[in-house]
Amino acid sequence: MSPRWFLQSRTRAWLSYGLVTGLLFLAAMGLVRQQLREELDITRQMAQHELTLIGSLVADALRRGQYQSLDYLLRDWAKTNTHLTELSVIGQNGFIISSYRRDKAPAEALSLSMPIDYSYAGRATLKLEQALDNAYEENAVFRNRLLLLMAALSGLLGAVFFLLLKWQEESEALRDRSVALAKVNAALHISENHLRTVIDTEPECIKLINAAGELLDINPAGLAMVEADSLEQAISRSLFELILPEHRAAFQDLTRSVLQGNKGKLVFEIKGLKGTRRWLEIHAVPMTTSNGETALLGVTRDITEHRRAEARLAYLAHYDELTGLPNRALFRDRLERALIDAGRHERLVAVMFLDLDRFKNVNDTLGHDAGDQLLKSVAERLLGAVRRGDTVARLAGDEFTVVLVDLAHVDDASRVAQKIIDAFAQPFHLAGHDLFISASLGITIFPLDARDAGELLRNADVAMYRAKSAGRNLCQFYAAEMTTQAVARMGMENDLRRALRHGEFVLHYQPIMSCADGRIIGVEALIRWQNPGQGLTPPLNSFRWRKRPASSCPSANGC
Amino acid sequence: MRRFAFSWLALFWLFTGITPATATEPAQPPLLLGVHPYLPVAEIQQRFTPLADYLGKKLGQPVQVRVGRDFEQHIDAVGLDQVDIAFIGPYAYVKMTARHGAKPLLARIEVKGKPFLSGYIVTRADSPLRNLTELRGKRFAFGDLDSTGTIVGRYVLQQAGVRLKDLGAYQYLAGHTDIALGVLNGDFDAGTIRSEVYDEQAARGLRALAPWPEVSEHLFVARAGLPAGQVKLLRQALLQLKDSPQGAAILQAIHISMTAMVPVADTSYDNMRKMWRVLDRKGE
Repeated sequence: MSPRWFLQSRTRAWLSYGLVTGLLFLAAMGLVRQQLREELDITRQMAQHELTLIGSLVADALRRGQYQSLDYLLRDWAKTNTHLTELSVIGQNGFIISSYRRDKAPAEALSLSMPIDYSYAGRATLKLEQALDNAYEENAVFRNRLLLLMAALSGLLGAVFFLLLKWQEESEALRDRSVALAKVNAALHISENHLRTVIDTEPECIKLINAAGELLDINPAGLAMVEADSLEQAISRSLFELILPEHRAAFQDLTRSVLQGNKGKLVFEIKGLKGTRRWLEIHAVPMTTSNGETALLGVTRDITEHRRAEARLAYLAHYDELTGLPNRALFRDRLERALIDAGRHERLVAVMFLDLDRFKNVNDTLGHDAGDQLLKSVAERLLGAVRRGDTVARLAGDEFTVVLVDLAHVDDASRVAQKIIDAFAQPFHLAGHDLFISASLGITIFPLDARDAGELLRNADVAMYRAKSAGRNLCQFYAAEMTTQAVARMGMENDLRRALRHGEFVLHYQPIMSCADGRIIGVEALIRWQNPGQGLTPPLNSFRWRKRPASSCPSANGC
Repeated sequence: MRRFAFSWLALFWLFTGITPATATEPAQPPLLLGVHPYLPVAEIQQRFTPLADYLGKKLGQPVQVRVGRDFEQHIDAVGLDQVDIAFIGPYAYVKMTARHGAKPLLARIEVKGKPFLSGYIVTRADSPLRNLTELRGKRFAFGDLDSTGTIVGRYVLQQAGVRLKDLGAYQYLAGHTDIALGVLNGDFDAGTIRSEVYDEQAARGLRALAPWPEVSEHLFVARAGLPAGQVKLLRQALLQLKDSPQGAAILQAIHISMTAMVPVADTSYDNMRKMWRVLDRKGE
């Protein structure tokens, strides 16, 4: 059993202590008894010597017959040897020749006697009695000292036990604390590893920048973001320099604010160490570093793609994706700007509406890809036909519009129209076929035909329809009556749809009589419209609507 | 020249610090009080010192006790005037006067009102001895060879027809108490002791076989050359002792039963001289 075993339990330790001290005291008591035995032995031996010595003196006195001198002898002897309590010389007949007895009887005494032959017949006995007080007193002194020593030793031992126990408890507590600390450390280590892994694998840049603007730490994503090959390379360069100059002031403001304890966010652009430009969004918070300073912890996201997508959306909002031409919205915007500009400078603006002839056939026969290809080619040819500053837009399907700005004469518009018509003279190569595609073009002029963009567009649309109904591959200038007819036609169309829906058409049969014999030889079936507002519409009106008159410009003479 | 010598003397006084006026007188030598060794020396010293001090005061001169080596030496010391005052036993006195002549007598002691020495031949109380004649062949204890008690004892035995050579054994012991103790202890069948010793020890088991004849007590004598004035002073001091304030204490210090010092005459010891002569004549 090791000493540690005794110290593992407080009760066991103190029991051990009690046992040890008990044994010590038992040993001490043994020593005390041993010492007393020795003391008594010595006393006995000395008394024996003394007895012999006195005996010789007594014998001498007796031989001389100096009986009386024995009184003096014994008295004087006892006077100098105070431990003696009785000295007697007794004759053989029991007569006490001389006797000295101390007044105070001892608690314990040692008695010795010896025979003394002093003459031919004389024989006496010398009796000696000695108090053992001295021996007991010596022993008591020894015992007291030993007990004192034992008490001191026990106290010392107790103190040692106490200290050992304390030491044991403290070391156990220390060990427990160490174990707990190790666990905490391990947990911390794991947590740190997790965090480090998260940071290292985090696609966003995480970096720590001190008050001086120096980079303290940055994760691999961050390194990739600034195009650094190593942490050292990143740290050696001031990241501030990578920020494009126009963003630097804002970045400094953010840094200052965060170091003062605020949160912040900033979008800025950098030029990486290898020259790549990136848009970044940083979310920054203050963080206390291990040396107590406040640093900036920044989580930076690469938003370049996002920005691109945004730009793309913005592009798609204004441009036709297929042809890259401005869409209806941008067209309207440009048109209105051009109108304002032209109004200010008293110039003309021409608005053209172009529709491909029989485009649906292309789609149906060659497929949509061919149709798309055709639209792209048309866009290219249109762009090749207009001037810089003019706008070609695709409104929908095969409908294109053109805005010709800054015109001095209507003829300028005619020339461009002709160039456009000419642009369709060459066949389009689509899906292994050379196709001749024609287009119908309607033109209207600001401010001659209208002053409003919507009205102009309607005019151009109307003119384009006139051109198409005039025979396709034509351009047609807008005339005011066109609008009237167009409105009437639109009203008729609406009425007819309603009449169909409401069953307003009635069938009238008119017998056909033979003039020769006057008998009915047949029946003419006539559909009559019973218009609730206008009554029965005579067939003439219907006829007129169906046979539209056309004012077209033949492509040959250029309108 | 004389003046010069005086100057030297003055200078000597100056340096030694001794002046004629303060020079001390030579101290008087103490008077010696001789005592025979009938007891251990220390005991005798203790018993006689109060008396010596008393006498010293009376004389204006210190008195010192001196114990003789033995009886013979004491007799000669007194006879040859080697001590100034002497306490001496009757037999010793008789021998001394026979050998050296008379000395000025001072006083003799009185014990229990009697100036006579008395004593007994004693045996143990349980002894079968009934008379002195039965002592033939027995062991007998005497005192000092030259002591009064020894002479008286021998005389009593001789009167009873028991001579020394008739005794089985005999021994001269130092004192009467020793004789008593020797008899009590059984070392001796009988012994001769003074009555005061007998009185002391009888209770321990002694029995008197026969009394001593009357003998004049011990006495004090002076040195023959001592001035008459001093002798007179001494005798007066001794005789007046019983009346002095410390008298009883001084007397009892010497002997517990001593009552006084009384006048003494040389004729008081004729009885003693007779006993000595008898024994001497018999050649014992």
